[in-house]
Amino acid sequence: MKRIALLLICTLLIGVVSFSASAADPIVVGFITALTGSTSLWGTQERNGAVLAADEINAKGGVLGRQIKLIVYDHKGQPAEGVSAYRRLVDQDKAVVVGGTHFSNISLAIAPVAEQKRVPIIGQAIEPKVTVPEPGKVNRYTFLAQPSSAQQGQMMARFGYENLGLRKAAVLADKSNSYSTSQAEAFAETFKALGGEVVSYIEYAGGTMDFKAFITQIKSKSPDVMFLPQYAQAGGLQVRQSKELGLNVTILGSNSLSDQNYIDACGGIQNAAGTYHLFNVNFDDPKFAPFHKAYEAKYGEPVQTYHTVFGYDDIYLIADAITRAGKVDPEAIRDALETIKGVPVLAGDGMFTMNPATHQPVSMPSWIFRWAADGSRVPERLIYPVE
Amino acid sequence: MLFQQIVNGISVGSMYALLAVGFSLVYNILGIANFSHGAMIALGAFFSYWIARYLAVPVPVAILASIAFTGLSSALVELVTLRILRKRGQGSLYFFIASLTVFNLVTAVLVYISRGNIVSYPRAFLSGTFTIGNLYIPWIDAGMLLISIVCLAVLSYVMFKTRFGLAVRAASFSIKAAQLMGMDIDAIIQGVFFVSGTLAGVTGALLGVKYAVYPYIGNFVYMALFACVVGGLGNLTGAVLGGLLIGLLETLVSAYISSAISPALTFAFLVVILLLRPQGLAGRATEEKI
Amino acid sequence: MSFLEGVLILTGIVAIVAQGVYVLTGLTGLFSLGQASFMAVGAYSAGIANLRFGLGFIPSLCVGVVAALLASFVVGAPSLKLKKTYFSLATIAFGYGVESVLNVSTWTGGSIGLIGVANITRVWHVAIALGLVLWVVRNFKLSRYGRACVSVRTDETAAQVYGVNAFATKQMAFSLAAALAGLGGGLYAFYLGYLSPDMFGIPVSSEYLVMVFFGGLGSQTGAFAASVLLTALMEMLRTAAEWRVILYCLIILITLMFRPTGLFGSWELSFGRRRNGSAPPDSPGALAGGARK
Repeated sequence: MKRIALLLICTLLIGVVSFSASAADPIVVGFITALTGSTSLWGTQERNGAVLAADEINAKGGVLGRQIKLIVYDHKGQPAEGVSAYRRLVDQDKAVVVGGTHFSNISLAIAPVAEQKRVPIIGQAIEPKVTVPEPGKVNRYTFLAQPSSAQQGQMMARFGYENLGLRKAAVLADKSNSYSTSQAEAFAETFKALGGEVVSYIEYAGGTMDFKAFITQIKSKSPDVMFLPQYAQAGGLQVRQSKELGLNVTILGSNSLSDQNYIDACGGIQNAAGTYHLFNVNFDDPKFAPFHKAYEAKYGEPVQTYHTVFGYDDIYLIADAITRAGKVDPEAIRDALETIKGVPVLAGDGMFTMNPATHQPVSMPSWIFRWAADGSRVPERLIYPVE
Repeated sequence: MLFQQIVNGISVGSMYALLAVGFSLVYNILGIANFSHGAMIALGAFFSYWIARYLAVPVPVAILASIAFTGLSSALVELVTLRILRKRGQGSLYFFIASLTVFNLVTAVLVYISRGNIVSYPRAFLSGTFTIGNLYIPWIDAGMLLISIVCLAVLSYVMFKTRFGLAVRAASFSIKAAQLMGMDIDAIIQGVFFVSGTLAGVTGALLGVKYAVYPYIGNFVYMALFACVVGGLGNLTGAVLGGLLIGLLETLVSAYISSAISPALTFAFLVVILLLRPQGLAGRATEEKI
Repeated sequence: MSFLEGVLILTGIVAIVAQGVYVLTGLTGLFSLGQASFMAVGAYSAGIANLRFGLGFIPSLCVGVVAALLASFVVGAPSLKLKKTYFSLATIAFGYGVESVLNVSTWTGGSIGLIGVANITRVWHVAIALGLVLWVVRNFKLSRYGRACVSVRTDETAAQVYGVNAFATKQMAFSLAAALAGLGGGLYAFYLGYLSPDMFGIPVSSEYLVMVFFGGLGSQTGAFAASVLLTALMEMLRTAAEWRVILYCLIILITLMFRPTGLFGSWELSFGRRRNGSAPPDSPGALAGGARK
């Protein structure tokens, strides 16, 4: 009997999952990010930013006179989990708009579901196919709020070729991560188009921790620059191991090389100093002072990564869209997201405009920073993508 | 370039060897993969980092202190999982899944505590490189090779020259028979877990020096399992040889065949090697253990 | 499709794959860390059949199952003659192999994944498939083939003395498990409409192992109940944010300590007379070393 009871509990549990609170007065905004798993640092930072923005908006009286109720769910870095989280937000919590996921594969999985559910989602998944699955077609309910990976790779190539005068590039990309491969492809294409030479283009299997085999190969081709479109840890290890093998060339990196974890993975600032990386956000800009102050007051610690700004900007863009929509209706909010024009944000040059044809930002610039020997980020240049 | 790649391969291999030596201990006595070894690796890395950071002691001292911690933690894991399972009449089979869950749990807790951050030791330890001709050899890699040789030597001494080692070897032939001979089998198993935990601590701390300290560092335990399998089960020398072979293969495949599918090719090679030599690299046809 | 339907579909798919793991690990004593990769083979084959060749739902699912079956022969034929441990290693090699091929091939969309598979799977599809699978596995277990599997698990040499072809028996169990994983994968492809290589790694395979142990290694009912319970548990814990995985692991661990043979041990739900399942396995499986009795 005990075991039959256990079976009954199993079926009941499914029932419990489907039971939740009814829709209340506030406007429900969903948010999906990684709160557990290997990328939870970014996810929790993103969540903190989103919560901060929602609190600020609510303190100022909310949107359309109603408060925002932000519900944040974990996706563990897994696409199917992301889809479940999106469905739960839309079906149970009655969210009218969803923010988040800076994971291309998760947003790619959510995009077709969003087409069916007709509830828009805006996030930072940088793979261009998230919003434009094939040329000429756009996912109506999915939006991107940072430069796409193609643009980021292109900006780094132009900076390296035009501003640093580099001519022989080596590229090292994680074959299992579209964030890495799509930036690497765009970089190589642009660099060659400008007249440079890509002397080594290596794609390695995901999960690799020891890159010396590749670095030895790259060294034999004697490039003058290495492009590393990597997450912080892989990038740091690559730089550290190339120093260990006596390869000292200019390093160009992706936006993930901007956080402190990169320095730690490098084994200290002595290895990281001199790295150029893309960074959507200039934290030292005076306009960030209130943001830093509010963040520190709320969380009792400084901002750690740029993902905080992702979450923060997403919520402000959503609030703006709801205001312009004039009503709490997913379809109207979608239309408003499509026509975002000159909305102030923290990222880029501070103004955000959406391209209705691609659901990607219109020429959103990025900063290029250099890690200085004292551990500070030196802004080198604000660079705009060429459309 | 080939020589440099071989040096690279040996450096990866010596890391796998160190991983495998600790792992193979519990494997020998229980005949089961103990994934909580991965948890101990991660704890070793974090303990030594925390001690070095917050007590501001030199890194080697921190590593030694953390080794004691991981040894005790490993013994504790034995106490709250394997011991209970055995007392309830279960063989070691269910311990496999319990240890896997302990590993996942510890990783999740470390993710929570560290909040997913990657950290590095406050002071440089075994950093830098020395060169022989035009070969570059990082100090950490040389150190790891040396330490794995030392660990193997110490372990061999313990296993073959001490009473404890004799008891462990007896138990690894048959737990039941050892029990009938009046041995305190619980104490022996706990001792093995302690020793294996200390080795995991060393490995974890060194991995932390090499690859920075992060919550998922325990995933290297899978490589330990592979090295043990390839080396011939229940064989310390085999574990070392297996580790070196995998490291070399992986590096050479990455360098000369294909970088993007190197794990797949490496494992395909390993399966072929095992087809040709089913008893493993150092295994003998007889079932002599350790 | 509502959230609840989505959860039910996912649960059903997990339960189908877990039934395969039950046959392989519970009955036959083989440890595979490649079940998720067989799912990947099934999912991608079905998805490509649909997307690139325009096949319908059922034919695509069949393509997925056949592909997984073929793969099981490729992996099993060389490795099942060796020690059980080497078989495990071969499944890991297979797992890496599948992941690499999916990441490298442009045909499967590389690391970006396969975009644009039709969204067809509904709850009743999964319910029918699961019902069929439960029936097949139950009959398999009670048939002479099932008993052969148990005999191979308990003592391979003795089984062979009594005329059981150990290799063929293991291959059969492995192929059945792979086919079920392939079926689950196909349904998964048509549920999500999008596939990427990172959905099917070795960690996912080990989750299935945990599931079957959690339910009770000797019990088909247990494998089913555990897949339902644990999938629902993970979904319920979504509101626990950062504590989610910690709580999940703790619950599994504590349950194992109080019920060391899993929830159901070797008990089977039976609507007729009470029937005891096979005794829980006492011989070490494939991840266990050689000669322990």
